[in-house]
Amino acid sequence: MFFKLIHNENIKTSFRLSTWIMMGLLVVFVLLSTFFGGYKQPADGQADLQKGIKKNTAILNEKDVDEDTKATAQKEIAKSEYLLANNIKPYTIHTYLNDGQGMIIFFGAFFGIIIAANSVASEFSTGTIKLLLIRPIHRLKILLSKYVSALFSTAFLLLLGVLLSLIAGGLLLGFEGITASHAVMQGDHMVKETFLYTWGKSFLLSLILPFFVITFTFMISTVFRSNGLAIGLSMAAYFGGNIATVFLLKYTWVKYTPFIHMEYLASEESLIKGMTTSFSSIVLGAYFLLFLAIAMITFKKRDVAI
Amino acid sequence: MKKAIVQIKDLKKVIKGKEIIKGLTFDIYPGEVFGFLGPNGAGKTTTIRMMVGLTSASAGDAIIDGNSIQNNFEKAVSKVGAIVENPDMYKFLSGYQNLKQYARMVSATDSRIDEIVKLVGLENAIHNKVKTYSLGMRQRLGLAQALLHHPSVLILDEPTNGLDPAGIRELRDYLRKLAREEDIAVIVSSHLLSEMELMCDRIGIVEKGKLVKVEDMNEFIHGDNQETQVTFQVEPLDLAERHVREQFPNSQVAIKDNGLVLSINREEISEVSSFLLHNGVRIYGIQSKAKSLEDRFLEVTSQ
Repeated sequence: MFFKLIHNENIKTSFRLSTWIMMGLLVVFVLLSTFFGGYKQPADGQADLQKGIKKNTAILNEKDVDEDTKATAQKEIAKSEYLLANNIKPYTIHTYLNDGQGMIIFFGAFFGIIIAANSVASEFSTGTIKLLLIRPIHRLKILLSKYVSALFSTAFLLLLGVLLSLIAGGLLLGFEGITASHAVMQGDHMVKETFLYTWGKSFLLSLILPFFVITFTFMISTVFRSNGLAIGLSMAAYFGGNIATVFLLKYTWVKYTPFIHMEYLASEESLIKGMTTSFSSIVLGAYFLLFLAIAMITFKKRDVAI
Repeated sequence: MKKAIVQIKDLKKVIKGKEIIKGLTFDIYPGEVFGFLGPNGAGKTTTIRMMVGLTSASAGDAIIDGNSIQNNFEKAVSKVGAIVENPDMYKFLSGYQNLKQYARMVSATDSRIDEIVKLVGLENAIHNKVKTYSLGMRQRLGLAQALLHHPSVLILDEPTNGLDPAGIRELRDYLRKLAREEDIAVIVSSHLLSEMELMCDRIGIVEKGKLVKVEDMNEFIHGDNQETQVTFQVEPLDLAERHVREQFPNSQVAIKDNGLVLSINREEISEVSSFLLHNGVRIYGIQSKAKSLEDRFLEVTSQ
């Protein structure tokens, strides 16, 4: 029965115009960035690396260059030397996929927010909630099917973006780079890793923020039954969460705010000290459960009077 | 007497400290069309919402086929088909896709959908988007979704809204048929009193959250002790009037269209006739004008 409910929700999503607009935009943006992004696989990667080392060495020897630029140049040199020494070929598709990751995730988040905002609120605004809730199905099952369906649709869009990037990028720059090895900084030394693994891991970790915001959107949509409010607050959280956190750094309770933990889990960098993966997971898990609990309690108790 | 399929027990609803529904108690039986009447804001829709679990009851309960809507919602509501206020459907889906949505939730088969579409006469439009439907077509679609799972109780809030006279007549016949042949209890709320009069077997009148009366439609309109307006075609008229005024000083007497009009009850009709005959008045006709539901409704609610 639960799968039938999710199926129902998926059908409703697939018939909404906004769904098709979002998908179309994603396809257009991925293709534009692929074919007009100026990506080109070099004929001889090794020679380019040598050239790069020379150029960066020149920067190090200049007098007027600031410390940051020098540090970056130093890193580049170390990386290039590591690649040469281990005979790792550089691929442009790596740069291409890394650049595209943010865009796909942004589209996924935006799409998910719109679906989550609509899924409960629009049933109320169109009055269809009445015929939905007089079926012999527990209200919480209906609510959860909506939530799962929103996540499912988002995952579908993300998968579409990823596959499209891989195929379009592969056609333009060659497919062999996707599964080839590349060099990754681990602590202060370089290690060899399969590119697809590194890329996939960073992609999944970057999804924590959209997942969190979509859950938040769903709660707002359920509590206030307004999709506009849900979209507005969620976009503010998505874009402003990290900025707002910066202003709270002087307080000790900042470590209980959510965005600092998502940043930490995604990048292993943090503005405060003493972060651990388990603590961050617990804090975020608590927020997640709180959002769902609030949504469930209000939906369960709501008197439908429209 | 049959066993009640719906039992409303001291149902109450308090919203923001104000008692909207003040303890309704009534039963509804299989095979009857029950009319739920009342002025705007009397609490009809709120009561219906509580009966289908859209709104929680502050006190009391609605028992449907032995299951409490409060404590055993899924079981209780599985016997109910309903339209609450407007039949709001997904406008961006077709009528058929809408029915499919509900069919998945109650495990109704595709052949049942086809059957019900035929029944409500929407075969030609069922694959069009609901946004292209007229209000009457939406009512039909609403009826279709309510009947999909063979309910024992059908609750319709203002079902004649948006239907043309032919549609209303069709709906009326259809509801009566459902009640007679399939033993479904049909609960209809409406403002259209003349419609209710033709449609219902029994009515309950709510006013200001209270149940003013639950009665059989016929008894309600022409109860034994109800006075009706009776017109006597008599000759000579002035003689008859004088005699009647003397003999029945408490009755209202008037002369209208060459007839003697009296407000009397059933028993008094024969009394008056024999009295007139004994006093040399000839009677050519007696007509008693039945009160309409509207007359009675206004009488009851304005008390």
